[in-house]
This record gives sequence, C-alpha cells and structure tokens, in this order.
Amino acid sequence: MINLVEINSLIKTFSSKSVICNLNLTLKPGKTIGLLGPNGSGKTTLMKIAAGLLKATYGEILIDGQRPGVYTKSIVSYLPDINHLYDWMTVKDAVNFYKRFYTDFDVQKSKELIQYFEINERDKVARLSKGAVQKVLIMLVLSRKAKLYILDEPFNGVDPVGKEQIIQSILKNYNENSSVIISTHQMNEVETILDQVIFIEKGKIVISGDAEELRQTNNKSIEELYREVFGKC
Amino acid sequence: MLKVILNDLTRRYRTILATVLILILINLLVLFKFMSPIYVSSMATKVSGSIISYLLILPLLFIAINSFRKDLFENDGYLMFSIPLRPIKIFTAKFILALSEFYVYSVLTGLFIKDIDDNVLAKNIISALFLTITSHICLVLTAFFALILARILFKRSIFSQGASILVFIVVLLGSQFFVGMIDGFFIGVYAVIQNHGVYNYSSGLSIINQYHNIFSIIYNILFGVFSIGTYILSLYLYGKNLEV
Repeated sequence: MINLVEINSLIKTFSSKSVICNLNLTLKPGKTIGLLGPNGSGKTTLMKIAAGLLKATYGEILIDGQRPGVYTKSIVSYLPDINHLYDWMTVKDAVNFYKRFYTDFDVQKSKELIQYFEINERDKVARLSKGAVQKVLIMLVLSRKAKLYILDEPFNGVDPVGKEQIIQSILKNYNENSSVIISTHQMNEVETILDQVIFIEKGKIVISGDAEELRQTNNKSIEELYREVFGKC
Repeated sequence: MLKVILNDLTRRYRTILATVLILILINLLVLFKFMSPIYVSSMATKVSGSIISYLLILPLLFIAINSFRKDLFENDGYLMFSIPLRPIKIFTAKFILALSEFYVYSVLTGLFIKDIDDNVLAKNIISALFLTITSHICLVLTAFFALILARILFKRSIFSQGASILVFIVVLLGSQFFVGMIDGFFIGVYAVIQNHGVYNYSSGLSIINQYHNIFSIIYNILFGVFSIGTYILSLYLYGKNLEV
C-alpha cells in the first residue's frame, strides 16, 4: 500500500529554536491517527507543514507522493486550531467560499452536516459561540472529499454533546482511501476511534504505533499511557 | 485568479462602496464651497484641493491594500493560504484588485478637486488616466512589497505592521530617488546633446517624459524594469518565504 504521508528527516526551526527535530514518519490511507503531546510539542507546527502553511527548514514531507503545494492543498482538508473564517461571513458565505475554491467540496454533505449540527446557514460566524464556530469549521472541513483530513484540536470550546457529535461525524466520514490526523489533549473523547497513535514531545516522536497493540502491550489505555509518558497524574 | 478577485469583491464591497460614497461627498462639499465664479480660479481651490488629495492618498492606499494586509497579519491568511491555487495567481489577483480600487479612489479624489478652473483634466482625461497609472502601480507594488518584507522579517509580532510602514517609506523614498536619478541623468544627457545648457529639474516624476525622444523611451523601459523587478521580488517572497 502506498504511503499517504511520508516524512523524512523533517526539521523545523523558528529563529534557531528547533520545534521539529529530525522527524521520520509514514502514514497509510484508511486510518484515524491521533497526534498526541503536551503544549509546545510541535503538533500544530507539524500539521501546518503538512497543510502547506509552513515550510520545512530541512528534510521533506510528501503527501500522496508530492511535496506541499497546489496539488496537496487540493487533497488535504485542514482544520486550524483557530477560527480562520472572515468576520463578515455567514455560514452560507463560508460554504460558498469552500465551494468556490475546492473542487472536492460536497454540497449535499455540507447540507447534511449543517442539519446534523443544527447550524443556521444565515448566522454570522462572528456572532456564534466558540462551540458553534467549531461545528461550522468541522462541517466545512468534513464536507470535502479529501484524501487527508488534518484536524488540529477539533474539540476546542465544544460541550460534551457537541464533542460526541463531532466524533460521530468523523466516524461517518470514514473512507478506506483517506486518513484523518487528529491532534487533541482530550484523549478520553477520541481514544475509541483511533487506529494509530503518535506521541510527540519537543518535536520528536516518543511512541508511535497501532493503538490496539499499544493498549495490549502496555496493558493500559492510551490516556493512561499518555499520562505515564508525559508525567501527568 | 478570477475566483480570488470575486471572493475579495464579496469580502470588500461594503468598504469600497462606503469609501466611494465618502469621496463623492467630500468632492461635492468642495465643489459647492468653491463653485462660485469668484473662487473658481482662485488659489484657494487649488490649495484646498491639493491638501485634501495629499491627506487622503495614504489612507486610501491603506484601504485598498487592506485585504492583502489582513491575509498577511491576521487569521484570515489561513483561509487564503490553504486554497489550492498557485501563489502567483493569488498575488496577482490581490494586486489587480488593490490597484483598481486605489485608482478609482484617487480618480474620485482628484476628478473634481484638481484643476477645476481650467478644465485640464476634462480635456485630457484619457492621457491623465494613462499617465497616472504608472505612479499608482509603483505605490501599490511598494506597499505590497513592504508588507511582505515586514511580515517575513518580523512575523506577526506587534512591531511588524509598524515596521511595514517604515519599510514602505524607505522603499518608496528609495524608488523615488532611483527614478529621480534616472530622470536627472537623461535630462542632463539630453540637455548636453541639445546644447540646452541649464535644465529645470525641480519637481515631479518623469520630467524626461515631457520630451518624446529616445531618452524618454529608455527612461520608461528602466521604470518598467524597476516595477517588474519589484513585482517579481514581491512574488518570490510571497510564494517562497511567507509562512502563516
């Protein structure tokens, strides 16, 4: 099976401070991957490099065999950890933006998700609560028929019911040709849906492997393992 | 590219309409205040017109480039830099829109105010529009270049936007000096060849353009090279070095 993501000797520095240190990784399609680590571990930076928003200082990252660029942006659906929609936009405007720029945007799917999340299309994004904005962003990202979904902190500011809705929508979105990378601190929410887990700290991979195997080998849940690795009780 | 222009027009049409409306109101105010025959030819018309024009030029430039600035310095950039389009298309679309916007504003600023008494603008409106486009291209390009450079050098720190104003002034002064040097050089050469002796080098851009000869052609080519150079450099930095 061809690797969907291939990272070779990736280094990213910000004014001489290393954020990603010689990272190597391969990801197959059809997987849900948890990118887990404490704040400042390099998760967001790694995701932004994969999304083509940051450039690697050294090494390379290949998505579907190509370096980040126009092609990879057309097959990567990226959810940043902030609200990046324009202030003036209504939900409908945001849908139109995605429809205009992404050929893989599925309008029917967006309608279903709008209904599922109980979003009002005429609402202005700037006037929505944090949780509602997050649902709008998830709706936009999952409405694309992308090969790789990169979700940076998808549960930010979302209540427990909303979290469950997001998890269900990610599960419904499953496709054997595409993968989902999720970065989060809330492992109890996502543990059940993860196929693969990557623990990252100070820009280096600490543990990487199949989620089920890790649970069996260590006789611990992923959340317990996380606490053990990163020293939290 | 058209998609980016359409998107930005949707994003900015309220600002554009409001600015156009305000400019028309300012013009009408000036017109009604100085329209009486006593004032029409007076210095007051010219002076007030010029002052208003100069006071408005930088705020109007700022309004015109605001969408580009927001993409670089605010979260809006995530949306624009994530779309699967080549940087040259995004940059050029933004540039065309900012230039058109700024041009419309400056035409509206100057249409009624400047030279109202002798109808110079009314008689030569087409040539006036063509002649001023080069200076507008230069200003918008310089502003884009300054924003990109400040964004790369200072990231999204609190200093970066202030720094972009500083870079803008430095680059603009530098380009004016460059243009002035070429202008002066060719006028000097032309004066020597024509045995004109002393030439008047007092103000404005492209004095050599008053003459229509080989020097004005070379001057215009060099000016073109300078503008294209700034465009290519800005595009290179935008496409290769910008990070969100």
